Amino acid sequence: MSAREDAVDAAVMPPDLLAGRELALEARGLSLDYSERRALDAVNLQVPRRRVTALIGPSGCGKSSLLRCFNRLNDEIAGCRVSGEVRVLGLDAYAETTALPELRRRVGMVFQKPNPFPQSVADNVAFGLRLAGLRSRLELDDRVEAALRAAGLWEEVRDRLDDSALRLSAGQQQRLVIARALAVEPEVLLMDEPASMLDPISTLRFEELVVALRERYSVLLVTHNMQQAARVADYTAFLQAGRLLEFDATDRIFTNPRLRGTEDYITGRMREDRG
Amino acid sequence: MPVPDPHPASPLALRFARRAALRARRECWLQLGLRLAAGFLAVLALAMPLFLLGSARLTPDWAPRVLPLLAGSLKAALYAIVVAVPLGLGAAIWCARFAPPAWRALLKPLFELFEAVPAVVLGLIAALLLAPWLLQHVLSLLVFVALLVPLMIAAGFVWQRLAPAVWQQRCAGYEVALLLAPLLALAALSLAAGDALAATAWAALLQPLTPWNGLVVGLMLGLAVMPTVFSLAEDALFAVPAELALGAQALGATRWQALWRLLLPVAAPGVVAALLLGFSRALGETMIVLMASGNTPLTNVSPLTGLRSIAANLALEAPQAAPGSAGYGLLLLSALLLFGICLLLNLLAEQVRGRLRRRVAGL
Amino acid sequence: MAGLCLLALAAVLAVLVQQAVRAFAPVPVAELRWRSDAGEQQMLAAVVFEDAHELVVRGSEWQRRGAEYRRIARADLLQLDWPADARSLRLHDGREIHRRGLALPQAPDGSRPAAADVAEDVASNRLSRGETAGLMLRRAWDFVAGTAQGGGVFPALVGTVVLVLLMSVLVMPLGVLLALWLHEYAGSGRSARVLRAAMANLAGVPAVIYGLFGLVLFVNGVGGGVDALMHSATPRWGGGGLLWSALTLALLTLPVVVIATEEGLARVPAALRHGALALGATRAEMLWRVVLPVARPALLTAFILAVARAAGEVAPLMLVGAVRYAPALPLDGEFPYLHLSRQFMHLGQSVYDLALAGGDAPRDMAQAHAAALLLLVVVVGLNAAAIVVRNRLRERARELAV
Repeated sequence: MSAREDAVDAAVMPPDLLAGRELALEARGLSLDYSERRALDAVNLQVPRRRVTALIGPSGCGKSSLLRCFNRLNDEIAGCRVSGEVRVLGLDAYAETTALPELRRRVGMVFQKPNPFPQSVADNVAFGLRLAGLRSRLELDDRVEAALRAAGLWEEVRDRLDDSALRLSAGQQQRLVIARALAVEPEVLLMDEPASMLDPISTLRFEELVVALRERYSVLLVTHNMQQAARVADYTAFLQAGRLLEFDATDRIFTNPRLRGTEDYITGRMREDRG
Repeated sequence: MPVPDPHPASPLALRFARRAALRARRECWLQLGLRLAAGFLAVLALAMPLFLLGSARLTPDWAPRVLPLLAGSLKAALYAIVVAVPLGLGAAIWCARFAPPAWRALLKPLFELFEAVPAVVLGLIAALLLAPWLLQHVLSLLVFVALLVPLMIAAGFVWQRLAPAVWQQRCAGYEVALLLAPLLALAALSLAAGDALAATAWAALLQPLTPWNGLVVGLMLGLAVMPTVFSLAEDALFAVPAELALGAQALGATRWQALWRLLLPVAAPGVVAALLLGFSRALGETMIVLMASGNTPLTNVSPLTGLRSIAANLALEAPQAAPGSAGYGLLLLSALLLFGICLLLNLLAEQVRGRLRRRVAGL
Repeated sequence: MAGLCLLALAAVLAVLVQQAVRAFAPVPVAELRWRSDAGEQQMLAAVVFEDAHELVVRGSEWQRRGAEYRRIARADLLQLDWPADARSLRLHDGREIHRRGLALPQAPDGSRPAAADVAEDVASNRLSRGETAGLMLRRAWDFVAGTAQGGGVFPALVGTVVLVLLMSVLVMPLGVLLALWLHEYAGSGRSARVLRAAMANLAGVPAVIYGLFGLVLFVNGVGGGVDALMHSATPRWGGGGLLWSALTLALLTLPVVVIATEEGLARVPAALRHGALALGATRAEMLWRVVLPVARPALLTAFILAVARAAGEVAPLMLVGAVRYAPALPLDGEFPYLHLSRQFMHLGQSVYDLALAGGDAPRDMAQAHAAALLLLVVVVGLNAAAIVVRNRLRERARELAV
């Protein structure tokens, strides 16, 4: 208990904020360097279970890099080095013994741009299931339907399961990739500005979906949209220039931020974002 | 603070767990396969020169037997480049800088198709049709080439000065099509002129000694190499940002000035690389030389005599050579020589192209 | 300049077509009488060539094909008729015999050709346009589907196809694995850079050097070794053959396959790879289930380009197994059906041999042009297909990226 408290700077996060909550993700002294510049500098972050946590901050502040540490997708980027500790569901993500496929199965991810595979809608959702060796048509169909229902897409695509996923609208595609991620029963969902490409109505539907997902999943949501963070997140973390400046309950951070920088950013006095 | 159970055991999670070992094993197999493939490539790249080296033999009389072949190869490649560069480079400049985009989209794959024309087909045409024709009409060709550049300059001048502005606007980008008629006229004219000149004393000097000579080889080999030169040079020229030329034109340069002073210098490494690779290809080309050169090992630079190149000599002699004999050793020696020269040219071209890439990236 | 290039290349094609047509066009038959050193001679012959000074005629070929050509100066000519009832008989072995009237002709030694040997019997001087066209089509078909003795290229066609398919079976898996290694695993490390450079340089090695390499390594090295091991008196594997040729061509086309495949891999958006990995796929699964299916057109392009390159390449084959005349096809009904050690005929090699052979020059040269046209159509057609497929892939990649 005390170790965790030590790791968190009181100026960044009120000490009793997450008292009694289970943690889904945790970063301790996490630094990340690309070949030429430092993207994250000694970040300490705790993401509680079954809550929506929003990551906000100006573009280029390292939000996406931080997100990709939790499923180690940063491994794919040449010249990217990580130091510090990352715990995912209590396990050390960067330990030698960590099996990447299993880690990534348990930590689903939704990208900024919907990235359905150029296959049918059903095959997209069944992609992860097939990796588990599921072959039975019946079981696949059941699970595909359940995942699509959970993502709120079933009613729209039930007659188009065999159509190419590329023919869905952007909003539908984004919910499809959420369904694809949900199908393998992850425990955490990482979302990297998932609504930035969507029109207002799709965004609204998407936000409702995120609120509903909160019942069963721990969600870490990167967003540029302050209102979105305020609407869907329980907790909000403010990141700037690779440092975690403030972490608090969402209503408090939006109404009564403790740092001047946070306030400036939220009220739009320093909005150079959207790179 | 309670720590979550690291492995909630849903049925799906269990299935994933059961399958993990199998999947990891497959991953290992794939990696092994890929490493083996990479190893194979490494072995192949090493084995090629080593095998040639291992069987090559330097007999005391190697020089008179190998050097004429080398001279033949160089002569053929030189003539080929002389033919290919004006054609290929001219086409590349026009295609990259002046052609309407639709033409460019059509021309690029068309030239790729021409690059794919089998050498043996070109060799056939060179040996059976071009060679006998040239024997009669060397002078016509000479006249045609000599008058070509003046004709083009004159045509450009006439068009710029005399054609109404409305025509010029309507034909913008398609001027090249208008050259077709003067070209055909010139061809007819030079044919007639060549025949008329055939009776003069000059004609005897220029009469080829054999139907299969350096001129025929150069023409056809040049045609074969031209697409290579074209596509490399075109890539280099096209990679130079259009803003550069537009900027120069905004400062008052004409299109030709922009081309000569700006684009060609910037794209020069790419153009030089195209030259080097074209030369290397011409050196290694076998069938055209084999069929159209007469295969007489002469050492001179005259386009009117035959030649025998290393590559053609390999195709002629290697199937009969007994392994281990002195002739076999010399064959491999000549092959090693050819291999070395081509390798050198390729490496050089790669270096030069790297420079172009850096230069364009800096713009 | 570009116009000039295109003009030159169009001329090449036109000339080829014009010359190839000659191989199939019927030749008129004339009744000739002329003076020679041996006195006055008379003959029924096909007029192959005529100009202001002389004629070249071909009499009845009773002995062998190409043995009856005669050059006659116009000055010596006493009489030249084109009899309406003249007929040309073509036998299955390619010989042509001329006569007047419908009866089977008699050879100088008194024998007559058997009716079963007759491939074609044409009234050469009385053909209407439609008949001429039909005749030419039939002859063109005979040329493509006929045996080597009768002047057909069918064995060469079979040899080329079998060779190229065998080669692609060998080169495709290796090439795709190499492309995957270079593009997906090797990154930008030292070994990757070295192998990349090696690949680029292998692409620049002249084809004939590959042939020599195949001769030294496969034919004389491996093949000779196998023969020595099996104590066979006649060289079986130690001579040029189908397998060695296919291996040599596989090495030759390896850079083509790798480069085309790599281009396709590079066009698969990173978002798809990351999407698959983020779902917990291993790299192998990502490649197999997402990347390769998306890059499938690139694999097809690579395959077609390799096939086209191999089909048009002649020089290396001259060293490792293609021959002018092979008595048996490499593929037949006899066990083991595919004869890997057999020598074979190749279309490109046939062009070369026909062009430079001496036996029956006028006909062989025309046939060389026809074979070249066939080769050109096959190779250029394959390349055009590759370009179309590649353009479609690029469009699709653009769609995926939007």
